[in-house]
Amino acid sequence: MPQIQIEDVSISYGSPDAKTTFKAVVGANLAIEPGEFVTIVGPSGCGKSTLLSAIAGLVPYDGRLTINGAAVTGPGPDRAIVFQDASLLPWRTVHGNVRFGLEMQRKPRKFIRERAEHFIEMVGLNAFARYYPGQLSGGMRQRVNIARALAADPQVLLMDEPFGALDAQTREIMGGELLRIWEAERKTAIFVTHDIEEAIFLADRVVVMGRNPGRIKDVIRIDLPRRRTVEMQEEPAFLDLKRRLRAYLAEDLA
Amino acid sequence: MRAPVRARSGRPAAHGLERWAGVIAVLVFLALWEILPRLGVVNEFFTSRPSLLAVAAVEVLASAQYWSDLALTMQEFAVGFGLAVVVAIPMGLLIGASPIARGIAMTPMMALYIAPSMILLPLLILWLGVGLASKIAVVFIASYFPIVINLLAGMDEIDGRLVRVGHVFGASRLQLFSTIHLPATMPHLLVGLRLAVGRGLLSVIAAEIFVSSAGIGYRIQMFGNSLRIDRLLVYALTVSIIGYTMSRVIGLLEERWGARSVS
Ligand SMILES: Nc1ncnc2c1ncn2[C@@H]1O[C@H](COP(=O)(O)OP(=O)(O)O)[C@@H](O)[C@H]1O
Ligand SMILES: [Mg+2]
Repeated sequence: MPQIQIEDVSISYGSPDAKTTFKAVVGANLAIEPGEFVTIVGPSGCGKSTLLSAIAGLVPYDGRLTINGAAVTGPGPDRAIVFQDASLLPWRTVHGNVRFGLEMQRKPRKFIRERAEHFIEMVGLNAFARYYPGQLSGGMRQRVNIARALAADPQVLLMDEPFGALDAQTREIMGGELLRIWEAERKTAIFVTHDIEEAIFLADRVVVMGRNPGRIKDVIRIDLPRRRTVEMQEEPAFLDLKRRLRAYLAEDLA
Repeated sequence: MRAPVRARSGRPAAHGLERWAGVIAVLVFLALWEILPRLGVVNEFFTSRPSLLAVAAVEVLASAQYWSDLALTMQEFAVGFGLAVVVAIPMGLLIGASPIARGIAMTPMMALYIAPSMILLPLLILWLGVGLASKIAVVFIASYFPIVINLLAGMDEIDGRLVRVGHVFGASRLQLFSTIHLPATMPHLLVGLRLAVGRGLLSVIAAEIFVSSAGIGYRIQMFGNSLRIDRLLVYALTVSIIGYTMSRVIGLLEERWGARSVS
């Protein structure tokens, strides 16, 4: 049975005068298996963040959206999110940020400390545990964000363009790191990006979204072997997928 | 390229000069204060002199009365201020959490903030008597509004993305206040506390000057009436030192908090 089921989901935003509503996502259908890595690509404004927020329980939706068979009615400990930026608490150290979710769950102190240390080590920030976010680079901050999400022990890891603000090289390194961690943890992952290569490189399946109205246009299975390597990106199979996806996205921009 | 280098090398020197200028100004002031009454230019009866002040300070600090006055005043201040902090922080966070409540509360709060708490003193005395309770109430009112007003301003500016983090990780209402709202508004809260210390201290002294039979304010009033300017100034200086010390402590907390939150 799929872990996440999205059936005919539409999401609207009310205008400030509350008279009109804007449909950001229309009639989305998608089923995601446990442990699957799904990426969502599409031009900006097509509703990627909106759909992810609905799964996170942050925005109301019409239709059916279930996780392990239970309807999503709000945020829950079965899900954790990594946002693009500015979501670390600036007054907490790296360690303090990573423990945040566990503190909210009122776990025992010792458990919290050990688990936080474990995930700080996993993202390679041991030496920076006592640093404040303001003292870290963008890439390091996103490592902290990922560690914080994983430490909360969710079944589903939601990521909204987590590497969007990073330079190309750091981005590629972070992608590899993320896969390494995901292979170790085997969480279900949903990853929003507007970078086609990133979408293919990470995914078991790529969800292609389109604009006007915001909708799911297609879902493409990526049959490249795990584990993925940077060299794979030069292989014909990868380049084929890239061409196909680019053509898809170009339709929207025309 | 050259301008910043010059500014950098120029600034510490200017700083040193400024500091010395301050010390020199104080010394000149003390010298004039000592000499002019001796020369008969001003009447020593009204101004006293630094040397007389020093003698008075030794006498006053040796008296049991000074310490019991100080203890009484500080007790009135501490209880009133403490209550204000304990009530104002939850109130500020609670009202501040809702934009509508914030909008409704801001204007009356502001009006009460601007009005000097002393205008309520006659009423408070009528209700609470001339003793401890009315002083505590005056300090409470004087300290309460700066804290609440500044917290409300802080809640108004809070970064919604940080609140969202709280929601995503399942923070309860109470956890949201203690782990997101309170730390996020800490700079504002500290400004409020610093203002509250000044206003609270002013209020307790003023209230004692008006109605009381002991305490620093009462003694200042009494020494004024009996023209013991030297002793009056020792008491006045005590108030300055207490106020200065407390706002310095809060200032240091502000610096430390600022240093950790910004890169
Ligand atoms: N809070 C909001 N209120 C109103 N409209 C919104 C809100 N958030 C997003 N939108 C609109 O919904 C559409 C989809 O936005 P979003 O999901 O952020 O797109 P994406 O993440 O794909 O760039 C956009 O047209 C955007 O302007
Ligand atoms: Mg987005």
